[in-house]
Amino acid sequence: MNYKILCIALLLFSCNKKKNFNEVLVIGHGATGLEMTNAFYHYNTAEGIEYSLGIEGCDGVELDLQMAKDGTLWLYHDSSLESETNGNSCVPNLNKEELQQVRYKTLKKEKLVRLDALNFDVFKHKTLFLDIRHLNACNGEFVSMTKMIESLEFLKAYAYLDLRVICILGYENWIEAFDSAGYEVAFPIYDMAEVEQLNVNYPMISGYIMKNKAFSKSEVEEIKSSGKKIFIFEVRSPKGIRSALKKSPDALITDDVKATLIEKY
Amino acid sequence: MAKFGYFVTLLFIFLLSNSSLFGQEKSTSLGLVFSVNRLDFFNGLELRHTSNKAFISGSLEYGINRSLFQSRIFPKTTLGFGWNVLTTEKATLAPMAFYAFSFYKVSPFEHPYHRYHELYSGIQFTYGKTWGVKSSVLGGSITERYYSKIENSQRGIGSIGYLLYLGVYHEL
Repeated sequence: MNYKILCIALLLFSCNKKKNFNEVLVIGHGATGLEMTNAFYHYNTAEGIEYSLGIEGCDGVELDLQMAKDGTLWLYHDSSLESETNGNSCVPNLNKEELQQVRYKTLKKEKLVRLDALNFDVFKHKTLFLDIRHLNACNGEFVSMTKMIESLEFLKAYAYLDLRVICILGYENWIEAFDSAGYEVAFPIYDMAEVEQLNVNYPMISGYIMKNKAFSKSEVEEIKSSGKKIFIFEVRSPKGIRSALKKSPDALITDDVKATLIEKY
Repeated sequence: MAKFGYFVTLLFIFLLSNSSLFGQEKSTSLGLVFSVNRLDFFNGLELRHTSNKAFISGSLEYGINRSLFQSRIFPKTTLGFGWNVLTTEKATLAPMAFYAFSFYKVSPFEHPYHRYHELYSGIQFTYGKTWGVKSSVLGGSITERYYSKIENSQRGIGSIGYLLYLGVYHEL
């Protein structure tokens, strides 16, 4: 009897067809994932971007963008340079010449990367999320929105690459200007209460960025039914990746691209 | 790195076939090992042959996270050799060199495999006679090889790595 139950259970288990997640884009968080022991390059580096985009099935990367004093755009995650590099102060306090000298505190001592110095040929048919920082964390002041939009203008020259750029904004007052400048805008949300208000006030928002644990599958479906895209981040464990995929987001901004590809296919 | 792997394999075969070079005190043990490196936690079986002060070992392991939690087989094969510099009745301490090769399939595309070559040196400690425990601490380099869609060719990237081993063994 017990054997029969076991056989039936095995049969049912083996017939459990994996759900198709082909529509979900796999995006490398900071390119290689944040604080991953299995990542050979630091996040937000040129080497890390080329590594991740080279993996078959990786659809794009998410990069953290900060503007220097002279208007140049740099890829850097933290508020202060001291935490991850040999530099001091904050990116918005320094100019191009000073930031060119900055190196990460890693074995490979990767350079801090200027956005316009990246080899954009590697972005062909890819999606680029730019997490745009609006504050200078060293003095609490806002950086210039106009200057930021002007500095991003060069990206339009890469339209021939079929490169999709999505700007993640953390400040509501920037949404309309970025939309008017022709950028697809994503905005971070932390609970359902925000969604309705944002949908009314900023209908131009293309999609929402959310932590996997903060929203249930039904909440994600509800938001998607309002015509917004869903981009889930903070996923790294196989269990977390599976739970995020089951919510059928438009993109998964993952800390482990390879583990995500295994779960996706 | 791959050439070095072939060299180590040849050396392993040479040492096995000429183990009398190291004297007459020979023993072989089979062990259950657990290890961790930058990629995963591993579990497997290790065969170790000691001849006088020298030893060679080889193991077959699998990555626990990938294999068990992602249903994706992540096999690893290793080869190590060392020299017992300190030997008491029950314990040994040995510097050792170590090579490991592992791989797993990432995607269903044309070039889905990511392969890893690890080359380490470090210290191994064993305690016990017929039954015993072993522990190794190793550091060195790890190289990942994969097909880069950007370069349309195989690409290798290296970094520093570590390997920590714990195991129990039984003398055959």
